[in-house]
Amino acid sequence: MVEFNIILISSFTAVSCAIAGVFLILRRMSLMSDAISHAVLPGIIVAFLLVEDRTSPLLIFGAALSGLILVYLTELIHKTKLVKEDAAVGLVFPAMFSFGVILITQYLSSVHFHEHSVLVGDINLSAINLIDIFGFSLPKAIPILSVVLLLNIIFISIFFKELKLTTFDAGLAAAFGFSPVLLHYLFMSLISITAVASFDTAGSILVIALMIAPAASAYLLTNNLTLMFLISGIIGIVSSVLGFYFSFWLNSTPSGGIAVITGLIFLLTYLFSPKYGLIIKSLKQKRQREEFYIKVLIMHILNHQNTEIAEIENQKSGIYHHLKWSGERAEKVIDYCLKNNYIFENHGILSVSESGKQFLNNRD
Amino acid sequence: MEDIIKLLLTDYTLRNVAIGASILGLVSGSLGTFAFLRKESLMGDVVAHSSLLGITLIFILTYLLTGMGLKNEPMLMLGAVISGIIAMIFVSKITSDSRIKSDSAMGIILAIFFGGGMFLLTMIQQSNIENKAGLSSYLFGSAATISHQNVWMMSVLGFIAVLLMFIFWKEFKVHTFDPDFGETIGVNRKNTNLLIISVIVIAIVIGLQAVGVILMVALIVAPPSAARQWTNNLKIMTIISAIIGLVSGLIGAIASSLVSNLPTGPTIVLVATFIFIISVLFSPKRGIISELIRKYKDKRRILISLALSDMYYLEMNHDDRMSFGHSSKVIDKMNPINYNIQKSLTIMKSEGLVNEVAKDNWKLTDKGIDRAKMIQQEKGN
Repeated sequence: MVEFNIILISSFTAVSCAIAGVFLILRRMSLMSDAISHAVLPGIIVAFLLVEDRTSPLLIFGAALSGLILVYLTELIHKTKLVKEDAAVGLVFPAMFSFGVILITQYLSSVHFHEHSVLVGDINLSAINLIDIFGFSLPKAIPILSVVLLLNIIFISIFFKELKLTTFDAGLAAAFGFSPVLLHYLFMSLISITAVASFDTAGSILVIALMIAPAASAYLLTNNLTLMFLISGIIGIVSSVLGFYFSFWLNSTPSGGIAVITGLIFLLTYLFSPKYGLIIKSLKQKRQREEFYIKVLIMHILNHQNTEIAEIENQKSGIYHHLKWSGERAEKVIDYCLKNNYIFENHGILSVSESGKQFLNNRD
Repeated sequence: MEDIIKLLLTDYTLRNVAIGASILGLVSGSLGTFAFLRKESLMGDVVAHSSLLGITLIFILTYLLTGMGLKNEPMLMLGAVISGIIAMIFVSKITSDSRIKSDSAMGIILAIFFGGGMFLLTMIQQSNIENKAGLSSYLFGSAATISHQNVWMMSVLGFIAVLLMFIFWKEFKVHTFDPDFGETIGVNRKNTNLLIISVIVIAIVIGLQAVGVILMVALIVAPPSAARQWTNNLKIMTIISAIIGLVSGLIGAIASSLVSNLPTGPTIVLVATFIFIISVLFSPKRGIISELIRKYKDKRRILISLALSDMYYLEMNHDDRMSFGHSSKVIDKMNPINYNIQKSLTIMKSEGLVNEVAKDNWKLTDKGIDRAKMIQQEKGN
């Protein structure tokens, strides 16, 4: 039962994060997930110090506020034009996180708020912390995670057009009268809320992993935005299940295990994606290269055929010298062309056939 | 203060901490300059997080080989350097070979390497390998664990990194500001890039023990960001950045050793951030306050010159220079630009440029006339 609960919690987290992650990577703000997942800490701690209840929804509110403060401060520093945006992010979130850690060590060292659990979360604990809903005994985290998931779905559906437009053509969006700034802040709030709801159960690593890796894998698989959401969500769930068993097997933290699995799935798509994978790409390149060699050979022969120097230039055994190729390559290309009847041999002299000429014309 | 100095000279741990923290600040400050100028500040974040995987992997490997937990920090540091460099190579490979953008590539690599590191770390902590306690200090840093041997190791690594920076100064500089030009004068883009990344990785790894993998990015970003405000010269910027790094490391580490329960990494980060805020506010050339003063002065100058020119024009075109002045309404009507005439007159009066000869009757003083002539001349030019 605990196993099922852990998988349930991490799957809910995975889907929320995966949905939020799609626009995050398209807007080239992936590292904001890392920054936000660190920067929410002081908000959580301050809220906790105020209400002294670890399950209070005020903690999520504090975290979201903290996330917005990060975004605001980053913009503020960036706007002074004294440092670039990347440096602005790199300045603000470590400072906020440091502040949070110092608050923990000064005021909460006796309470259950360990730095370690901030990073990897306490998914096992969340899984045995149960609540009765409609007669089902479910983890307490599930209602919160469901709300967050719903929030993600609603937000993305309502602002789908706006997000799409500001993401792909910010200038046009501004011309239509959308406010990119407002949308930016709204979207960042969504990321903060998603991050913190997941954070409590799954830790900050998992937030980063689940927001970026599934969405990036989906980006390698499709060009269709709607499909990208679907694939990203599925990859999130699959990673949760596999990651859980992986960490169960090696007796380690589920968050770390799931993060590793999302990475492996990304690696697989990176290598084997039928459209943008590394392997298909290098195969394509190889084919292009071969085609290019064939064309060069045919053109060379065609150029010199029926001229006085044809006997010198188009000699089968010497042609590599004129093309400045290695003998091995020349032999391969010539063999291939002979086999396909692009060229034919007559007393050691090569000539282009009709199909060879066609090859040259067809595939330009 | 005297107590601290006394402690520094006599207390073995505190001395190690102080020297260690200074070295880490110095090295990360000077090399962070290049990360900052290349707009790759967040690379520090990726490298620092990623090094956790190397540290834990080496720990587990030696345990499997020797049956003992590794207490030997140089080996752990080596693991950190290697995994940091591999992480960055992966990032640039993913970015160049696929449609994935660099920010996503960095995020993914960070998540995998750090997630893997946390995975192994939790595994180690739940096992019963000896010496496992020291490992978790790599998360948030713990100055107290810096030993004499660590300081020695940090010095060697730091010296190598800074030496490389000196030797390849020209290459680093050209590559940072104009890699295309660099290539035309024979600076290999790929190799220089790898070299810069490697020395930055070394700088980051030096700081891991004191600051921790999560916050180390701040020491790569904050000192150069602060130093940038004070100068436009790369050499001077590097030196200032190194000094700021050193000061933050030193103050943070000493404070955390003296105050109980104060974590070292966060303290150092907050000191560095504080120095950045001071720099941004008070730097004489680019600072926010000097910018405000400049704006205030400009505004004042414009207010004066508008009213002054109008009054001068009025007085020159009426043959009444010696007799009486003009009311503020008249002066205001002279110019289509809408500005606060009363404010202008008050400022000008305080500077002795006009006299209020009767109620709301203003006249230029001799000084005012001279100034107005000057303004006319400037306009003429």
